[in-house]
Amino acid sequence: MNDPSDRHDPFPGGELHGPEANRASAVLKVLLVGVGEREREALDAPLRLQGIDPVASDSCYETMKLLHHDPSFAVVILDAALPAMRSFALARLIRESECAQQTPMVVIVDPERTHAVSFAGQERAPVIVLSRPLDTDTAVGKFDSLLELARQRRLLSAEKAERSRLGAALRDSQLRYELVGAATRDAVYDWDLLTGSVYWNQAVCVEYGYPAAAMNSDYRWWCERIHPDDRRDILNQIDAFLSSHEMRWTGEYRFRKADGTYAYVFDRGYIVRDSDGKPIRIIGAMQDLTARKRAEEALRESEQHFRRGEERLERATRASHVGIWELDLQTTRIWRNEEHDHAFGYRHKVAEWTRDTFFAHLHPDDRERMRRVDTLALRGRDSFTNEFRVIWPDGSVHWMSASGKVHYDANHRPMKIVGTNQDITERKRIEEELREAVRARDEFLSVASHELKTPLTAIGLQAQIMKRSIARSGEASLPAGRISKLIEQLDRQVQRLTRVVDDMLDISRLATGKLTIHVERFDLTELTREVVERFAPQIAPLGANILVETPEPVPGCWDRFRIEQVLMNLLTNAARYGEGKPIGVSVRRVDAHAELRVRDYGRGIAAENQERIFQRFERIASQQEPGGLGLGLFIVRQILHLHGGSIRVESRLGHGAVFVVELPLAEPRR
Amino acid sequence: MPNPAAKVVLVIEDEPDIREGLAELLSDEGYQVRTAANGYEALDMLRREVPRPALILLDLMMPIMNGVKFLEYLRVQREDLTGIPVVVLTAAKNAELRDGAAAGRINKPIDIEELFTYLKKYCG
Repeated sequence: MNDPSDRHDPFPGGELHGPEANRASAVLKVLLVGVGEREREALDAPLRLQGIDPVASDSCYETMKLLHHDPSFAVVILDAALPAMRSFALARLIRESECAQQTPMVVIVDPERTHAVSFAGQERAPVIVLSRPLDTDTAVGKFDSLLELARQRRLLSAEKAERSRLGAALRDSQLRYELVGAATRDAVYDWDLLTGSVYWNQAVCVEYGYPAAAMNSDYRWWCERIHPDDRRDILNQIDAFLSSHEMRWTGEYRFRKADGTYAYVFDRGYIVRDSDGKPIRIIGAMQDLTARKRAEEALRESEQHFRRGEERLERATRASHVGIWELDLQTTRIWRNEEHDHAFGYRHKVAEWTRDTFFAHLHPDDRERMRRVDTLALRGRDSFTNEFRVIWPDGSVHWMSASGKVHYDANHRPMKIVGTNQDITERKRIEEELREAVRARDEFLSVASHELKTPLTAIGLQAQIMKRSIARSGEASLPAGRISKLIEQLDRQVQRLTRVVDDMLDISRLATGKLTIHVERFDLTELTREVVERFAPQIAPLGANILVETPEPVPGCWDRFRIEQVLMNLLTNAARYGEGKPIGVSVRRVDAHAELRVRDYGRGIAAENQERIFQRFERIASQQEPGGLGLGLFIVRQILHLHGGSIRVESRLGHGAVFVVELPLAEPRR
Repeated sequence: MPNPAAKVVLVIEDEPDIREGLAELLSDEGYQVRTAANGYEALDMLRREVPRPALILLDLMMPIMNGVKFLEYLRVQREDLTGIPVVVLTAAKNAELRDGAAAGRINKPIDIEELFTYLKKYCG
């Protein structure tokens, strides 16, 4: 029973070892007290047959000491002829002792000296009397029966001891389970694989809400409470472990609590195996990880959220080129992201940035203003947005917008300014373009209104004149010459109105891509002569004459109506800006092109305006001067482009202007 | 036949049909009409010609010297000229005109009744 291997068994109570009998016999001992030489020889053979090596004692004291310290003596053989003591007194002492009162005794007596062989306690264990000289056969028979008895007795008491030891161990282990459970809040279990029964500690009630009955349950009780999605996997894992030689198993799964919710558990089991390696028990503990899982989940989520937020911010600032900065008012150092430096014209972030660095990059004209803003911001205005110019390292000037917010310490002292900055040069340019477009449109509307109202005013006046004349002296009184003059004026103004409206329609067609050309073959020289002939009388009052130079016919495929429009436009401009000086028109052939030139000797066009005049709604003249719709040259250029041709102007201020039109002779391929 | 007693009205307008139309209309009503095609021409005329006009009808948008410029020049002329009332004729709704620079303003197309109201007021 005191086998060292037992002492190290970590799981007492689970002991299912083989029969104990062999081990009991192995420790059977026989004590020979005062037995003489001859008798010893006679006993030697039967004892050796049983594998017993007898222990000898010659004194009463020694005998009691041996018996007291070693309970494994199965038989005490006592020689009645023991010299130094009275053998029966010793026998009585043995019977009354605690350690050996049940040990069988053999008393060897001399037949010639009769003794009453009786003493108290004899009923507790047999006392056998053998007479001298000892007969070996008789001794063997007696010994066998005594030893058998001893064995039976030993077995009985061993079982009893084992039972009580097991009981204590079981109580101990259960107590330990509870203590472990209380300390760790783990649900500790002991699963008997042979019976399928499972013992749980109280944690299964406390932590998972189950009634005490659950503490002694079946393994199926546990299986049923594993989340259906995890169950098969977990059971498979355990099966695999049981059939391997592994001792420890861990698994994570969801375990249903009494309230129906699931707990995330971490389960560690220790598999107890018998000497053949067959698994017989699993001892383990189920740890509730729900709170930790949730915390981890929450942490992961918030980390992800934060990371996503940061990534979003990073992407957003990169995509929108927004710089972020933070000015420490104590050190005047500025922390910032890369975009901040990009907006100042740096390809990569520069080493350090301070408030002085900022002012050094400002356009000199904006520096003072920004210093005032800086002071103002610190004097109670929390947040601000400013637009200013900065000078890039390459010397170019860029517009920047910066917004910031002042942060204060507990004593309301400004600590830092946090904000954003952005290059808004492009935005400024677009704004300027938009403003310009709006201005041009407004001017166009005003000019269009003037151009429409002028003929209407003339027509209105003529109507009034006739009306009043008739009212004064009747229809007959109007002189014929006057009527025809009025009608001529009316006709002219209606034509003028028509032209303005046509221009506006053309603009609308061009804007929507609906202006088309219809080509036919004709001679440009001929058309030019016709148009000039028609136009000359209109400008005669201005004192200007038109000099035409057309050395050869220049036939080609063009839209006759539209080319006529081009000619009219150029002649009208030449007359309008020619200051009454002669106008020159020439048509000739240059390579595969027809070239038309219309020249005036007026004020000329400054170089910076030479491209602008071909833009929509643009006129060089100021608004206080009449100058037409400002659509003419725009329309002209568009018409020529549709023909695959072009127009340009050559001019110097004060030296007049030449408009040069080039038209391909062949039909445009479209 | 010009009536020597008739009041003189000066029409300054670059658009010939309007200029002549106004002249004809006012002549028919018995006014003596002088015309000029721009401010420069008008100033030249005013400096040389007698009698002094009782009213000037002035277009604003004109080449060479526009109406606004003409008004500026008129204000620095001989004393007898600076006092001549000027009624502005304009096609632009929001012509830039300083307050008090003109005695009145008529939008184009011209409302004849409005025109005659000014004529009666300044020419009797």
